[in-house]
Amino acid sequence: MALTFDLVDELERLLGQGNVVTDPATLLTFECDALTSQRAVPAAVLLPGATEQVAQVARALFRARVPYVPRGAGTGLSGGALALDGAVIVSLTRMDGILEVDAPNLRARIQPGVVNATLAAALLPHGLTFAPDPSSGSVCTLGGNVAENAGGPHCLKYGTTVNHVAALTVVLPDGEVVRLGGPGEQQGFDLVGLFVGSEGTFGIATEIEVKLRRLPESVVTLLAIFDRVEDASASASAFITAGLIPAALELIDGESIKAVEASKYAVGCPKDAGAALVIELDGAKASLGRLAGRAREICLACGAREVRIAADDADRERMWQARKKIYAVVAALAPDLLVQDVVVPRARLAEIVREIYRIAARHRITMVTSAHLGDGNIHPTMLFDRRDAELVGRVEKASEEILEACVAAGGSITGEHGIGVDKREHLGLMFGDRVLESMCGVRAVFNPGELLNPGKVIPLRNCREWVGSRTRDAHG
Amino acid sequence: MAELAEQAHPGASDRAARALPRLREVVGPEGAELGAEARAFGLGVAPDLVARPATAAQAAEVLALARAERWKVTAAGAGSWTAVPPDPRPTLVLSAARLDQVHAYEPRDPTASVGAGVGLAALAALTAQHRQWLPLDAAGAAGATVGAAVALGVGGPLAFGYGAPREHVLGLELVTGDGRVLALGGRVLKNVAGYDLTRLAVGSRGALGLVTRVHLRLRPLPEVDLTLAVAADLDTCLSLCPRACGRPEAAAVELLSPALWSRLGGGPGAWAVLTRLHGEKEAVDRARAEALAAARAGGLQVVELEPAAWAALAEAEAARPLTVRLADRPSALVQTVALAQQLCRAWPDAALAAHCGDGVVRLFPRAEDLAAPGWAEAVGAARRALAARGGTLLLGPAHAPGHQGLSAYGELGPTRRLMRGLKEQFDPEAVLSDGGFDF
Repeated sequence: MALTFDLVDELERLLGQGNVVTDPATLLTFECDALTSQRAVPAAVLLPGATEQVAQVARALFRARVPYVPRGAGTGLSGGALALDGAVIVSLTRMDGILEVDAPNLRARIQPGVVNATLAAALLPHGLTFAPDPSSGSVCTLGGNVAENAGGPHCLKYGTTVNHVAALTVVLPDGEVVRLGGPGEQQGFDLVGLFVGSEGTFGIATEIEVKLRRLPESVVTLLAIFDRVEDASASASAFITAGLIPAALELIDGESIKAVEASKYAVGCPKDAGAALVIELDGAKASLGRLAGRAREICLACGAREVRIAADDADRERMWQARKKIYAVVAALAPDLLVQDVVVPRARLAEIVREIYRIAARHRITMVTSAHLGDGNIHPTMLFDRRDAELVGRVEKASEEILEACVAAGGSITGEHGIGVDKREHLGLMFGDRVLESMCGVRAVFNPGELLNPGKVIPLRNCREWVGSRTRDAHG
Repeated sequence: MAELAEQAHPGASDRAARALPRLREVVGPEGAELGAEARAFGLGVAPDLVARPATAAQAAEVLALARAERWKVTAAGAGSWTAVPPDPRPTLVLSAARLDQVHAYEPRDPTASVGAGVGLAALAALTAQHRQWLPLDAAGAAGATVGAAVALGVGGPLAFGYGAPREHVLGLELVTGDGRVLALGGRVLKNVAGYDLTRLAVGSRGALGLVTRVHLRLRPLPEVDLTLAVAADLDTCLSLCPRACGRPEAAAVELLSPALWSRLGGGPGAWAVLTRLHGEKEAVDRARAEALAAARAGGLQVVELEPAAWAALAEAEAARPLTVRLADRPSALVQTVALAQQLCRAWPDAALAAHCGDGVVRLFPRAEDLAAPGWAEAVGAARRALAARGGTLLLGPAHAPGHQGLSAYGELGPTRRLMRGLKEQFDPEAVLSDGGFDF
């Protein structure tokens, strides 16, 4: 399975020498994505520039039985771009063109290496937007967004990536190029819906037709301060039963607030607050004043001590900063972080948030929590030092218990970060063996022999095709 | 023994009659009957047998029996549009009609978990009590079940504002052709755990299994639900569509031919554009004022319709035996309508309606139109013309047998291999019908 000189020569002929990276120092920079606890150095990194090049490279690797892994910006939090088994990485970052913006039909055709924020900026002059806005939007690519079915704060009202993909050009693992979806109606099974979120294990998307939305006429942002995080958590259901769905409803807990207020990103949140909500409403200007008033009433009824309405854009930016900078601020607090990505039904939020804190306390873990509260997606974040084996043990136990509690409440172990390698062996918490075997079987339709991105998503014991001689994950 | 009506394949009917007691052992005496005695099915010939399991486990047993006995199974909801494809083997319709419990409804989410046999109308009545709804007006009869709407995966006018049926399904239970009961997806809005087999199942038209339970995402009812209609000639109506679709409050924008507009009480010979506005009071009031001003400037009149008009429209559509769906980019609506009108030369009394914002034009020939010679060629030619532009021509909502060799869908192209592979994963022995797909 090693890369022969002949194969490297062939790849260089196909892509140009500069687009085939084999020097060890550069390869080291591709040994992990944002899940830094798991590392594997790839055998090479390839940088194709067009669909045809991706197809040719895929054909060559498939013929040589060399596993390969597609990669965007490497911001994934589940190790989906980990090059297990000495796989080759196929980086899509050179393919970063916005090919067409079709404003009348609310569509754009783009290459997978386009950065989410770059797309947003290009659409602004057209009065249009691409709704999925993951927190890593300034760096992450659309190809990665498609692979993970990325979310973001505004997917509460507008949906996740899968709701915004109309068609895909996909290079299958053996190099065949297929078109999924397209104008007109769905012909056959929903292969676009099946492909989005398949974490780079079904094929490589080399062209993406996205659905766009018109920018809302007006936006209003509120910051609600609470004494208790459970009260803030209960607000999601309160909004729903009041019939008011915000464009975004984000939670930050007391620990996060303290950390942000102690940093250069301080926004003036009281340091003794138990939690804060950043709420965004959008729509017709004429309605927003009244809706903002209703939102304030709902928060106060849930126990908010104070609700501020952003006076202007600068104010709005400041409020969002409190939410957006959490990861950066918290990452500075400890050598290592474990970020979970659980989802629970909104009706169970207050109860499960309480339970999450109880679990952390029981295991004496320092934890901060933020959430895309509006869709029940919580990010409990544990601070630790991986050199402290005993602490690592407690962190693992606590995170297991949190996963189990959320699944028992009817939730999910991942709302947007994906399974990758990180949660692979936990997928059995959500699905029985029959379903896992079906998933394996579906993957085999696209990716027979699992040459593309091996060792991801499905627990190893459920996959007949995983040969025992391959190495397991590089955990620890 | 009751008299058997004429069957399509008389030899099979004896085997069916002999199988009936065994089937009744699985689903109970009230859960199975000979096709001839069953409530009439929408289109085509009656099946040999009808089974209505009361649980997913019973459905799995029926499928196991079907596999052993080499029957051909067609999945169905209530059966109102089920079309049994002709087959030399005994045919069985596996209906979800008795899976009609509401298992859970949580207004604080808001989500609902319902048996596939729950009617869309019944669900609407339940959720309205909490000022919530499922914004899915599935193409077809108002008696449609949730399971059928999900299995067919085709929306109605509201798909413009709220998305296709797949956008409303969080998870579902599927009994596969090889008798496995699979709990797919979940019950929460954001869920990327594993592969999205829920989306594979939605719109799979019974080819992969019987949908027995559906977990649905619900929404709050809009503050205001207002429908405006403008009647004029076709060209004027088409010119109104882009602006109507551009309103943020537009939940549905529908073009109606005179045959349909007159059913809603409109004047004869006029086309009409209906715009359904959903949203806050201030926003809808402003949209209404703008629409009135624009109409007045063009010398047109605007009429307000009751929401019941949409139900009447759906009933009128469902009364026709066949729908031809021509679809292309919304910006090409004028050309797509023109192509549909060319087809109307074979069917002068066909009704036409279009989801303007989605670029979907629907033709509804009458039953007598389907006896006209040569229409299949005309439809085939229209399909090819659309395919050349990247559009699609589908026959729906259910695939009726006897469409003179026309398949419900166009060419699948390279994806056919993927579809066949997926079909084999869930129904390796092809116990289930193909759902109209040409594998």
